[in-house]
Amino acid sequence: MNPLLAVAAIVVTAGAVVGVAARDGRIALAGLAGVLVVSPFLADPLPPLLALLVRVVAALLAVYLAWIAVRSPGSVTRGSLLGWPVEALIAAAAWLIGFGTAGLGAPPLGLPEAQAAGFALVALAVGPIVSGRDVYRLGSGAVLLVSGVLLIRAALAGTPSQLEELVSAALFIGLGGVVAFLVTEAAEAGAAGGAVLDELPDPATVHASRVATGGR
Amino acid sequence: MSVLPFLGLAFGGAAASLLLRRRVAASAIVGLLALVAATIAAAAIRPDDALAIAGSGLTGSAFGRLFLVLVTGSATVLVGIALATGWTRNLPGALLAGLGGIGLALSLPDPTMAALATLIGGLAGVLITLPGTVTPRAVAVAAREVRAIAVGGALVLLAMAWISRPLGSLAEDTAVFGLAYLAVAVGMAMRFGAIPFHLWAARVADAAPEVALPLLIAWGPAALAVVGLAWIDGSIAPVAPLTGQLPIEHLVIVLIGLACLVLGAIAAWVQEDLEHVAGYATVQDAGVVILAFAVLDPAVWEPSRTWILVLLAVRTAFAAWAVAIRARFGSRRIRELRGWARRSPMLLVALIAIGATSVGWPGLLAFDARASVITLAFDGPVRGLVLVAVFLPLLYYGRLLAIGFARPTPEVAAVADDRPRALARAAGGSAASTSGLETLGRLVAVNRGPLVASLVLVLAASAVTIAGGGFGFVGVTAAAVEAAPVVTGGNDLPGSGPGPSGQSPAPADQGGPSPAPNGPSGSPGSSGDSSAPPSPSRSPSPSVARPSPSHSPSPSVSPGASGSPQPTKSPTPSRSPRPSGSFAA
Repeated sequence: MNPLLAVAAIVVTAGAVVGVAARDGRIALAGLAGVLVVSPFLADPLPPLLALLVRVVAALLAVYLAWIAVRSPGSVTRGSLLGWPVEALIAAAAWLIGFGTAGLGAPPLGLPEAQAAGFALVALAVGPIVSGRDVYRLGSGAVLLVSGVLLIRAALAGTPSQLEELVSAALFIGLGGVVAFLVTEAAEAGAAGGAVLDELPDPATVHASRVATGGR
Repeated sequence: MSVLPFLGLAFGGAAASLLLRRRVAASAIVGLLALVAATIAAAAIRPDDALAIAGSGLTGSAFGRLFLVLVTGSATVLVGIALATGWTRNLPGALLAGLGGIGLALSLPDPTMAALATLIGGLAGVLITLPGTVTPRAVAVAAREVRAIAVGGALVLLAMAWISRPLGSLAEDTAVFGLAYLAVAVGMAMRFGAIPFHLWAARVADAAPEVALPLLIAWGPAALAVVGLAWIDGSIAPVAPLTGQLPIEHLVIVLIGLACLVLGAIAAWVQEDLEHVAGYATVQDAGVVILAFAVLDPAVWEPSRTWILVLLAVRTAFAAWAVAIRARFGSRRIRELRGWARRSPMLLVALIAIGATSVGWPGLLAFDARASVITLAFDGPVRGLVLVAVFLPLLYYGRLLAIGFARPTPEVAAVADDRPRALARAAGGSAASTSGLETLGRLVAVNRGPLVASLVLVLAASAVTIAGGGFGFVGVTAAAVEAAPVVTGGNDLPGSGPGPSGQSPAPADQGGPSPAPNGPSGSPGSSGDSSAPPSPSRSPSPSVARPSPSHSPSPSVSPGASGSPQPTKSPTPSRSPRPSGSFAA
């Protein structure tokens, strides 16, 4: 195992834990930035410098777009209901499983560390994707899910081509933009902390209920 | 090279239009101009015109050209309709970005990259999911859309990554191919909002403006379906003789397709909201695409791609019709639209054209394509029942027509009919005192109804043209039959490897064991029948070649004869005897 690559994989995983568990939107975004910036380096051989630069710049742009939406000091997300230690344990377990199953049954063309980090990211993305109640958290889950899948893809099939790096970069910019757009719209709609995914009562049901209870 | 102008116009126009979104007129003008230019650029795409770029390549194709001309032209008309009926913010920018993603997906030679590109296109749609007044519920719907796009895309990407490499002994495990196959089909079904993944699509249909529906639930998912079909053609179908026909996976996919085909039509029939009718009608048509995924037979290639083109044209026209009805009569509740057909014969003609092409009749290309897919997907008496189910759309079209011919409600009766109106009569004789531009504006305003109906008729005419096979001037069949994209760096199985168009060497040539004379279970075209002519593309060998170290997992550009890199082309198509062609996914 290359120690530098192992450190990079751990940094990616730790960033994802912070991104999922933090309740301050800015701290969560910092974790996400770590994931997006470091994950392109989890490849052997490394992509060409230009491709790496494109990924890093795209990661920074994606994070900046989201930063526009969450930079106010009052920006909060629901964070993890389980708490960061549990998320960290989940990530560690997934990391080890990913590392131990490198190649998923066939000789891998990429790095076991990339698969380990990819598994951890996908495992951490499950919570926000399935039960995220605020748009930022759900958007972070989507970013982690796609990042994790691309890491697994690099681990199984080897270093992506430059064009694939370019397309991935565009995808992450798009994801960052969509997260920023949704968080901004949620704030405009008056949803505290962007929490729009709680089951909202249907207006017709509310009206019927008021009629039935005499307006009480 | 010819794809680049389209991509540049689409993404550049999207950026410009979105940056100008606070200035509605400027955003609309820039967006419309970019859409018109992109339509022209799409028409100028040349098949087999490859451009080596960033270690891979972009390739034009006849199918991609027809797909892009259809959706970009339709997007231009939709923006025109939106301008006349009620502006939707971000509309041209989001449409252009979505079309750029679709164009990129259709011109990339690697399915993984193409799937990534469809995600970009899908995300662009989120920008138009939210209508003018933002509510927490609308934001929640948009967030759920992001979730569906991410999860569906992740499934597809994972599946493609898993088996698009030398598999070694893993290739002997049928479950590997079955899981990957199922994941791609389910991911695609999620993007279409297919039953039982339809909840998010129903909510989107409820919250999003009607003009956005084609991009959200038809165009983007259709592009992913094209990519998925090409991937299955190159990675799963060639190993069908080894794996059998994957009966459990086949059953699951067939059930999803059948549920869409039957329940989608019934849901569209019972819905009271026109947007829901349009949404479920799309889901019903998507059922045929999903059934195509269940078929591991080369014969499904052409009809499935033909049907995708028909779906694009017909569902776009139907969504535009719904926009026009709502704008004209002020309601999208079907019960409140009694008598609409009496007030707007143009919209009546459009609906009849849409319905006729959507349902079709034997001999019509659209009908035959759908019937072919169903025939290949089912055996025995079930086939006949499913073929009858294709007439279920008559339920909702019939209901709309019956409502249209009923006695008009006072509100509908008060709406102006389709006859053109002169300005002087409408403006009380004040036209002479105004400038030419104002006069034109007023003239358009008083004739808004017939103008919008004319635009809907244009879309309906395009649907008729596609469904009829192009009537000699649009090569629908030629585009649909075009060879699948060429993908290098596939797995090490016979018949796969260099992609669906690849002609793999016999396993014995690769050092693997010699093929047995008869596979355990072949594809429908050759299963169990050793006398049947072999498929031109599939290796019937039940044995599995060992991994070859020479296989590279990454796509796809090899040095051309001239020394300049060109995306790899295979000399012979694989799925069916079709012209060697270019990449279409």
